[in-house]
Amino acid sequence: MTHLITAVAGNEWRILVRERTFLPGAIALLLLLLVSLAITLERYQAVHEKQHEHTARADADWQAQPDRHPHRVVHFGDYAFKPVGPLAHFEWGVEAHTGQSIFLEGHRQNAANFSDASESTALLYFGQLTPAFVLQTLLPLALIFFGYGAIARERESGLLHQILAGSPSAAPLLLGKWLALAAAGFAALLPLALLALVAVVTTPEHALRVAMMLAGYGVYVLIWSGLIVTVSGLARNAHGALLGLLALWIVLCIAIPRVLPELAGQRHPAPTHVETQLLAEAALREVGDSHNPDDPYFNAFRTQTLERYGVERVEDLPINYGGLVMAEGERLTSEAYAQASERVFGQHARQNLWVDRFAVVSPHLALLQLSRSAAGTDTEHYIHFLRASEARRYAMVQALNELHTYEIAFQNDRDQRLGAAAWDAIPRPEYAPPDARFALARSSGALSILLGWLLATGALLSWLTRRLERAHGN
Amino acid sequence: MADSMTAQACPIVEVTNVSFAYDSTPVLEDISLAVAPGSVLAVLGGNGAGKSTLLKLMLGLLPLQSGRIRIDGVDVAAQPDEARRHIAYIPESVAVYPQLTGLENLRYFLELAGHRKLEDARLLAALEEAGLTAADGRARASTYSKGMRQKLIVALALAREVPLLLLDEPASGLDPVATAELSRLIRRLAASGVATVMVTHDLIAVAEVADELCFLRAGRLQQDRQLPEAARQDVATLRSLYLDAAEQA
Ligand SMILES: Nc1ncnc2c1ncn2[C@@H]1O[C@H](COP(=O)(O)OP(=O)(O)O)[C@@H](O)[C@H]1O
Ligand SMILES: [Mg+2]
Repeated sequence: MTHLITAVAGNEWRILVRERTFLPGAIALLLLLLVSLAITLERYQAVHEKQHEHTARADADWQAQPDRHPHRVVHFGDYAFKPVGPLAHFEWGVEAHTGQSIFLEGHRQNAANFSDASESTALLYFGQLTPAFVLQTLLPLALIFFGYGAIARERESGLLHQILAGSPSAAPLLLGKWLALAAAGFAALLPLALLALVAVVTTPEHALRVAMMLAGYGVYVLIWSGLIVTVSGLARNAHGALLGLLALWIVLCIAIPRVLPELAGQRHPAPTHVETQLLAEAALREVGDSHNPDDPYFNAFRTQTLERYGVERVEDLPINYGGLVMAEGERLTSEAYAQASERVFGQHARQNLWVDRFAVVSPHLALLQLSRSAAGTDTEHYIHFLRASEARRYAMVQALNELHTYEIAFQNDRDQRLGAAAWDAIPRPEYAPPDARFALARSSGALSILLGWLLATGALLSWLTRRLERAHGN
Repeated sequence: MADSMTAQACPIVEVTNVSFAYDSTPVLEDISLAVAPGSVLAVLGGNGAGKSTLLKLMLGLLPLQSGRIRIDGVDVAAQPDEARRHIAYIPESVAVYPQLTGLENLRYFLELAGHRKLEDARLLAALEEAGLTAADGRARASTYSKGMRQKLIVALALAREVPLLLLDEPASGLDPVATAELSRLIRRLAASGVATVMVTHDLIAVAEVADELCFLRAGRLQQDRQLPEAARQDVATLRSLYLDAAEQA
C-alpha cells in the first residue's frame, strides 16, 4: 500500500513538473513569496531600527530633562513601544494599521491609531502583500492550477477507467495524488520553515509560536490539496473541476474572510477614535473638573482631605494639596478613558467571537486568525499592548503626582523644581509581550477548526474512493 | 477438433448463460462461450450490439445479473479483483500519460497493477517484444500513435504475463500497416499460449488473426464457427458470412 502511494505520488510529481504551466506558476509563486518577504523584512528592519532609535532618543530625552516641576514631566511625556516579534514581519496582522508605538502623557490616552483598524475591519482581512497573504490566499490558487486535473483529466482521457479496471483499490491513487499536491504546497512553506528555524535559534522563547504557525499552515495545505483532489474526482471533466475549484477559492479565501468581519463590525460596531474621545470627555464632565475651584466633586474631596488630616485650610496640610488634586484628577480621567476603551475592546472581542463562531465555514479564516495570533499581531495582542501601556502611563503619572504631593511645597508650588535624579525613580518598564500560551489560548478554536476541516477532507476522500471504485472511473 | 477439446478441458475464458440489461433494456441474452489458451476469438457485431458490455462483464466492471463468468478458473462475480489480475484489457481508446515516456508509462502501470519496480532492461525487452523500439520507449507518449499506444498496453500484458488479452475495437483508427502489425503481435502472443478475445464491427481487420468468429446480434450469440481458411483472404466471403449471420439473428 505505502509503496503504491509513493509510486503514485512520484508519478504525479513527474507529470506535474513536466506540465507546461508548472514552471511559470511555481516561479511566479516563488517570486511573490520572495518579494513579499523582502518587503516585510525591509519594513521589519526599518521598524526595528526606528524603535531602537526612538527608544534611545526617548531614554536620552527623559534623562536630559533639566531640574523641573514634576507636573512639567507629566506633560513632557514618554513613549511605549511594542517590540516587533520575529514572526511579525511574516504576518503583519493589524499592525499595518495600528502602528507599534504610543505617546504616554498625563490626562489622556493616545491609542490614536487603533481607530484606523476598527474603522476598516474589512481592510484588515484583505491586506498587503505579505508572505502570510501569499501563503493563505495565493498558494491555494496555485495548488488549484497544479492539481485541478489530478483526476478529472484522467477521467477525460479514459486513463482513470483503464487504471481502476486493473487495480483493486482507488485508495492508493487518491492518497498518492493528495500527497503529491500537498508536497508542492509544503515546498512553498519552505521559506517560512527556514525563517522559523532562524527564529527558534535566535529567540527560543518563540518556539511554540513558530510551531503553531507551521502546524497551521501545514494543515491548511493538506486541507486544500485534499479538497482539490476531491473536486477533481467529482467533476465530469478538467474544465468543470477548474471552474468548481475557482468558485470554492473565491468563496473560502475571498468572500467569507471579507464578508464575515464586515458583518461582525455591523453587528457589534466599535466606536471610532473620535467617538471614544467624545464619550470619555462627556463622562469626565460629569465627574468633575479638577481645575475649577467651584467644582462640587473637588469641593467634597477638599473637605474630606481636610477632615482626614484634622486641619482647616489646605495650606495647613503636611502635604501638597495641589499634588493630591492632580492624582485624584488623573484617577478620574483614567477611569473615564478606561471605561471608554474597555467598551471599544469589548466590541472588538465581540466582533472576534462572532467571526470565530462562523470561522468554521472557512479554513482560510481560521488560519488567518491562528497565523496572526501566533505572530502576535492580532487584535488581542494589540489590546494587550494598549492595556500594558495604559498601566505604564498611569503608574508614571501617579509617581510624578506623588513627587508633586510629597516633594513640592504647597506655597509657591509652580516655582519649585526637582533635580533630574528624581526622574530615575519613575517606573518606565519596557513592554513585555505575552508568552505563547496567550496566543495558544486565543487560537485553540482556530486550530480545532483546521483539524476539523482536515478530518472532513479525509472523510470526503474516503467517500470518493468508494465512489470511484464502484464506478470504475466512469 | 483438438483445439475445441482443450477449450472444454481448461478454457481461459468461460462465459455461461450470461444475460445483461441496462435498467430494463436487455443487451445480452443467454450468452455462452469459451476460449482456450492460445486461441483468438473475434466477436463481431454492429454498433450497439453489446460487445463492449460483454468485455466489461468479463472484467467485472459491470455486475453480473445472471449466468457465470470464469477467467482462468476464477469466478468474476465472486473475486473480480483476482480475476482482473489475469486480464490485460485494451480499451477502444487507449489512454497513456502523454507527459511520460513509454517506458515510464509501462513502469507506472505495472506498479499500479501491483508489480514491484522492474529494471529498464526487462521493460525495454517487453516493449521490443510488443513492437516498440528502445527509442520509442524513451520518447514521450504524447508523440505516440494509437497503434503505438496499443503496443504499449500489449507490452504491459507481456510484462504482467497474463493469460488473457481483451481488445475492444482494436483496429479502429489504425492504418492497414498498423493493423497488420497488431495481428502479427496477437498471433505471436497466441503462439505462446495467451488467449485473446477481441470485439469489433470490422471483420476484415480480424479475419487474418482470429481462430474463431462469432456474431453478436440482437443480444444473442451465433454459434461459434471455425473460420474457413479460404475466407481469410477473401473479403467477399467474409462479408457474406457477416451478412448471413445478421439475417439469421
Ligand atoms: N452505461 C449504459 N447505460 C445504459 N445503456 C448503455 C450503457 N452502455 C451501453 N448501453 C447501451 O447498451 C447497448 C450496448 O452497448 P455496447 O456494449 O457499448 O455496444 P457495442 O460496444 O457493441 O457498440 C447499446 O444500445 C448502448 O446504448
Ligand atoms: Mg463498443
